[in-house]
Parts: sequence; structure tokens; C-alpha cells
Amino acid sequence: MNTLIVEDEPAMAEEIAHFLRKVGFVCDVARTGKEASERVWMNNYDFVLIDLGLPDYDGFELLQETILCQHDASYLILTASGELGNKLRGLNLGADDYMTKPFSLLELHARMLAINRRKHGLTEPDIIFSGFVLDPLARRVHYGLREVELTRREYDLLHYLLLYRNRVLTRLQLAEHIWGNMADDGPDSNYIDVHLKNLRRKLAVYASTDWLETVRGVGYRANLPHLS
Amino acid sequence: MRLAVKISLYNTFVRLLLAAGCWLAWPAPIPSLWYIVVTVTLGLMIKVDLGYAHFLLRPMRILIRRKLRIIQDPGQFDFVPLKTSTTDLRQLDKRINNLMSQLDIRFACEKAFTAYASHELLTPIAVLRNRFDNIIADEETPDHIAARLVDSQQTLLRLSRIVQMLLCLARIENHQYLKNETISIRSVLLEVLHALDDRIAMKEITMTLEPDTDIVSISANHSLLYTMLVNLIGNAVRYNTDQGHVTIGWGRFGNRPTLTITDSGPGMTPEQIAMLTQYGRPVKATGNGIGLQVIQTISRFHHIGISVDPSTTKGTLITLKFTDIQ
Repeated sequence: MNTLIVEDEPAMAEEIAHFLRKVGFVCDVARTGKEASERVWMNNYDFVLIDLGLPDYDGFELLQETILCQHDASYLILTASGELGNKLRGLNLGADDYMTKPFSLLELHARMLAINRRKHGLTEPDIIFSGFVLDPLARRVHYGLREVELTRREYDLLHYLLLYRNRVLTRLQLAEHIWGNMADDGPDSNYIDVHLKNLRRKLAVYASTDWLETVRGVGYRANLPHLS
Repeated sequence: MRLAVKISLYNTFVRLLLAAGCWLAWPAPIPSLWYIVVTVTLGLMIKVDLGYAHFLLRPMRILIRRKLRIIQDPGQFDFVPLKTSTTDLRQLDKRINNLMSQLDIRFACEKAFTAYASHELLTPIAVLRNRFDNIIADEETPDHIAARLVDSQQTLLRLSRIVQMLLCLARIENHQYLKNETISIRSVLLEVLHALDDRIAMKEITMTLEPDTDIVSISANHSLLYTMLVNLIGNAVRYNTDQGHVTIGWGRFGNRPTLTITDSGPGMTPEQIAMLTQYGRPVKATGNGIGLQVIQTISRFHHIGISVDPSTTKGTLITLKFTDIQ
């Protein structure tokens, strides 16, 4: 998917572009509002990520202008401003979502996929792994005909690990995904470990969970064949 | 007592004194008809005085009602000059306008500063956060380096939380949050308990929310009230003992409805209690000090009184006294 990243901080733009390219996106970067304005008139984008705090342009004006020019694209606002007023204004002007810095790149990617599905009326397909079937629509996991009883949080963790299979997810990334801003920042917090332990125990009743690896000192990884 | 009433009472008193002087100085006994005439005249005078004073002070009432009573933020102030032929009131209005205009500028400066600080502080944190994410995800990064980066990411998260809480405090103090919602406290509590359900289950805490009562808070901000309650109840869960209990109850303090949160944890230190209940203490960005300041600032913003029962030797009893209710 073609993505335009409008971000005046070069290091930030570089990190977002690096991540999105790795997961298969084609990225252009515009460091100023003027540059962004020129790019949207010349190219077609599926996604436009806009930082509101641009040096030469009002972010909201740029959003309006780009929506006029490319109304089929999806728009995501990335900003350091946590003000609710700005968020509402952005969404009212036509942005599809709004993320406050600092954010996890995985979370950004997950939201972009969700926007894409919503926009094109797609449903997330069932995920088949190690004999289990995860149904994202019903939020249930089955092994054959039997349902694996998972709590809401266990389901969320499993889904996230499967979405980013073969990639180490840190405890922080997992915690932020399921608790958002309420993720504990204490190093002694072991909620994620307890949830993962329970998840393993529940899945192990039906089949081996060797694919769910603990990466010492870092986090967890689901070692599974890539999704087709 | 209204100023108009005071003025007319004063005028009546002076006239009564004059009438009494005349009566004492009068050489012959006064016929009873005169008493009636004097009483009726005095009554009429009071009415006329009252009406005139009321008329004279009308601009003052407009000033209070239209300009001062509804103001929560200088940005809402009505700067249109008051229509009056009374020089004193015109000058009073002019001075109040000047004062509010200065306040408005100060508020605008502080808002601009918070927005600037937010951008300047959070953008570098975001850059580092994303860079760490990318390096950790890189297959070529050795595990021991990744583990150290995870530690750094944890430190960065703490820094980011502190910055965000300080910015939140600044925004509340600067009235950058709207306070225009009518909110059921019970429904916010249910949201909070839903968000904390797994932590409550993990510690096997008995959570009791007393049934059948609610407080409907008016002129409130939902996200702030949620932040306040999730912090208070989150602390009651986090610092509680395993298999402890938390009870959320309702009560009254005089004519104010109250919400109480009781836990079986280790209790709060006097410094923590002061941080939670006293306004104007310097912000301490260590431990949970800043979190307590955020709770205290949100409660003050909503005119909710907070008290901690000092007699509780084991556990904590926090009482929230609501004012702006339906």
C-alpha cells in the first residue's frame, strides 16, 4: 500500500518509514506541509499519515486539502497533542484515526490494517495455527470442535502474537496493546507473564505450545509458518 | 441584602429621623390624621427609592449576571462594553474588561506553552521509542542487546508517563478541558472495573460495588473522571494484598453525596495523604506522587472534596464528596 508520511522530525519519519517498508508498505516522506501538498497532487496514496505540528502549514488545513485532492485515501493523524479538542476536530474533518505520540509502531500498523478492512468492508479471516482456529469475528478459539475457554485479555494477547508471528513482541508492546495507557511501567509488573502462562496452560490441554517462545529478557514470539 | 434595598432603607431611616425631629419640635399636639399622612408618604418614598435604586444599579446586575457569574475561563468572557450612563459603573466595567483581557492573554500563553512543550518533549521520546522498537525487531540484533534495549524502553516509558502527567496537570490548571457533560458515576465505575478485571482476578481480590445507588455529576468531564477513578481504584488493587478486598460504597456528608473506596492494603503514608488532599504542594515526580497530584487536581477541577480517613491503621478509606450533582 502506498503511504505518505508527513512528519517534520526526520528521525521520526525515518523510523516509521523503516518499519512500514519492512511490513510491505511503499512509503514517501514529506518533511513540510508544502512538500506534502505537492506530493498529494502528483501521486496516489492509500494512506496519509499527518503530523499536526508542521513548521510551515497548519496540520488541519493540510488534512482538508489532501482529503479534497485524494478522498479515497485513509488519513491517520499522528501528533504529540493529547488535547481532546484537536482529536475531535481531526476526526470531524475526515481523519480515520488519531494517534498520540509516543506510540508503538506495531499499534500504528494494526490500526492501519483495521482502517483498511473497515474502509473496504473486509472481515479478518480465521487464523489457523498449530491445529487451533482463531475466529476474530466471534473472538473465539477452537481446537477441532472444542472451544478453548480464554479470558478477554488472553484472547487479545494470542491474537496480537499471531498477527505479528515470528517477531519478538516485548512485554511493553503486549501490555500497551491490551491495556493502552494503563500498562504498568514498573519493572516488577508481571501481569503479562501471568497471562501468557495461563494462555500456554489452556492451549496445552489440546496441543503442544512449543511454538510460543519466551525470549529471555525481551518478551515472547509465536514461531509459526507465515500467513498465506 | 441587596444594595438597592440597603440604599432605600438608609434613605427611609434619614427621613424618619427628620420626621421625628419635626414632631419633637412641633409646639402643639399633632392631629391623628397627620400620622396617617406621614406614614403613607414614608411608604411611598420607600417604594420610589427602591425603584430608583433598582434602576440605577441595573447595569451592575447585568455586569454580574452576564459577565461574571458564568465565567469559568477568561476565553468565555463577554468583552462588549456595558451600556450605562453612570460613570462609575462604566469605569468598573472597563477595569474588569482590562483585567480579564490580561488574564485571557496569560491563559492563551500558557495554552501555547503546553502545546509547545508537548510537541518538544514527546517527539524525541517518540523517536527513541520507535527506534528501539525497530532495533529490537531486527533479526540481526543479538538477544543480550535486545534485552538491554527493553530495559531502556521501560525507562523511556516512565519518562513518557511523567511528561504526559505533568502536561495533563498543566492542561487542567489552565482549563483546557471542557466540563460540559452529565455523567453517571456508577457507569464510570463499571467501566473502571471492566478495565481492571484481570488485575482484580489475578490478585484474587474481592471487589464489592454497593448496589442501587448512583451519583449523577453535572458540569463534568468524562475522561478526567475516568482517569481519577481508575487511578484511585487501580491503586487500591495494585497495593493491596493477595486475596484482599476493595469496597466501593455510597453515603452522605451533610447534603453532599459521597463515594467511598475502602481497601485492605498497607495504608497511605502521611506524605501521600497530603499529596492527595492538599492543594499547592510541589509536584513530586517520584513514586506515585505525581499520580496522586493528578487525582487531586481532577477532583478540585470538579469541586469534589477528597479526604482520607486517618484512623484507618490498616488499609485506606478514601471519601469523595460531590458538589455539582443532578
